[in-house]
Amino acid sequence: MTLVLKRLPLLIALLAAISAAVFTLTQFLPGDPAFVAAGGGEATPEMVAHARERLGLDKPLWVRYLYYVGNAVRGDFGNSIVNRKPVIDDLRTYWPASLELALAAIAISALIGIPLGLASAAWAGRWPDRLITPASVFLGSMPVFWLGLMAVLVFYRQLDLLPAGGRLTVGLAPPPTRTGLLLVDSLIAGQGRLFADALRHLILPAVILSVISLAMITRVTRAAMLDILHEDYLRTARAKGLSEGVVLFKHALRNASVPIVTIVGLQLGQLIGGVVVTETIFSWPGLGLYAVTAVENQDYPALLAFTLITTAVYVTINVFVDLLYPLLSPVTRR
Amino acid sequence: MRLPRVLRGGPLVVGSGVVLLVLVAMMLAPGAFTRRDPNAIQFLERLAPPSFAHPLGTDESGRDLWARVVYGARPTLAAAVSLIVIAGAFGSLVGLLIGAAGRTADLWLMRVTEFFLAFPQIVWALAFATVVGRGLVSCVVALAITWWAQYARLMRGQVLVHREREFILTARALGQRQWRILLFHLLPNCLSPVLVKATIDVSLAILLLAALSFLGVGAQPPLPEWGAMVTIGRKYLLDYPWYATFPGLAIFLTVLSFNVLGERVRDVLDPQSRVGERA
Repeated sequence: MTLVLKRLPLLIALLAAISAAVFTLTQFLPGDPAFVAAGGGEATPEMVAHARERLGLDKPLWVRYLYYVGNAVRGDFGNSIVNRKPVIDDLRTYWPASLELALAAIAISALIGIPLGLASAAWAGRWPDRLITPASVFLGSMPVFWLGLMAVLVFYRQLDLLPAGGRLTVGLAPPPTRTGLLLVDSLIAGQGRLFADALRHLILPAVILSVISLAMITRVTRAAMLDILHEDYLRTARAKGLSEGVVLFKHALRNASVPIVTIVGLQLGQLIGGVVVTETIFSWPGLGLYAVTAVENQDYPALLAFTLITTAVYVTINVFVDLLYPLLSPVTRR
Repeated sequence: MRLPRVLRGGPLVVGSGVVLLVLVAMMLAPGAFTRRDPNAIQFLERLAPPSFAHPLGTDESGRDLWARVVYGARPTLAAAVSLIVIAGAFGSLVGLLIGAAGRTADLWLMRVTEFFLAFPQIVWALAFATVVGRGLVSCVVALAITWWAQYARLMRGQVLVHREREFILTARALGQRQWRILLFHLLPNCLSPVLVKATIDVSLAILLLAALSFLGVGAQPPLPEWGAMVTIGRKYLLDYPWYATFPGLAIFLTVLSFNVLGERVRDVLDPQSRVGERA
């Protein structure tokens, strides 16, 4: 609890700084919103002045910023310039898709990366290690967006195994929304075909997104395991006749878990950047695609809201990672 | 002739060295690699597959892709390297000064860097470049604004380690001025981890800048930057797959070389370090 309180000022400072920076910059853009709001070309100077007053644009910058923050705290991020709908409604529509994608990706990279890292530490210097470690450098060097495009070429165009984009085949009706996660919703509704279709659509984007963190998690697991593999308590565990599997998974992994969890948690934050890229490649209708569309259309209210919310999520994840330490390692318990 | 120590370490290391040499040559003298003009438009030859005349094919305006990849080395690398040089130099300087300054300043530095480290990089750069104006320069500025903090922390840690060592005390006892001690005694001894990090960070910078180009806020056409080329190639992916493939391959090879060499530099400068923790 104290940790949360300690981190709260950082979160608030970050949100304030980023919102102030982006908000201030948007105010100096060419184009006059009051002129547009008054009807454009046919507006008389009086109408423009009236519109300016109505929109609060005659107030000084800091007053307008405080208005914005005051509204944002209550969940009102203004209306999108493009579709005129409240930005918050759009965010509500799009975020479950991003969550589903990010969760799937982090699950894949943890489920594959941790065993791979374990293997390369257990056989350090021998062939599994000499295969896995360079492979992780290879993967980590690939531009994700390029890898995604190559995957589309192979699995969609050449092999025709998986769809190239979207969350469901066009024409299929989505299941009734409960969680917004299609896999979960289709299961709740008991629609097996829909579940299979959603899964097929999820595979490519999730695997591609997981690549970024997979390489990192493998390397950190290996390093963390190497740190402790020669500890006395592991020798004791072996000496009392425990099998190698039990020693590695129960005794060693538990003690190596602090750095691993840190990285998995931090990756979850880094994933936000990856989500934006992956959603763009696969036309995945989530927050990232929404943000990129907002960038294309210079839709500042939408972009600003996206920036603030992802920053908040990012910092919150980091705080939660910090909270996990005491649970994992008695040494950090106070 | 023996290879320099950094390059002794198996075919992967030598290969990476060769790739980087070729890249530097491409930056300095692109004309030596192709006689074609990267911006010469030939509509009759648009989207031609790889051939003798066009080893990597042509793009949607009939421009030679090999020429564009060659000429693209300069903007792609210059942006990434200048980002790391700016962030590294500024951050190291701040770290050096603060590390030497004392407790209160140190506490403040840690607060401030924590703040910048918490920025979600891509999201911030996306917002910044959209508002300030798209282009490589905006992206470099946006990323530098947050990236320096990592170097400040690294440098501060180094300063704290070396500050109380004998040679510094000696220099102080001999009556050397503070700034001389900082620049000529402390700084050189703190630099090696910074150099290792910078080498590896160049590869991260290339990836991030390319991703930003892919999202539409980085390099703008017709600049032959690799990320931007993949972005346009994406439109033609299913029918003309070479267009997006080759510039991406160039990014991959470059980043891989920087990573391999960065790790090699680390092993040479600091034999005790292990693979893993990247700050």
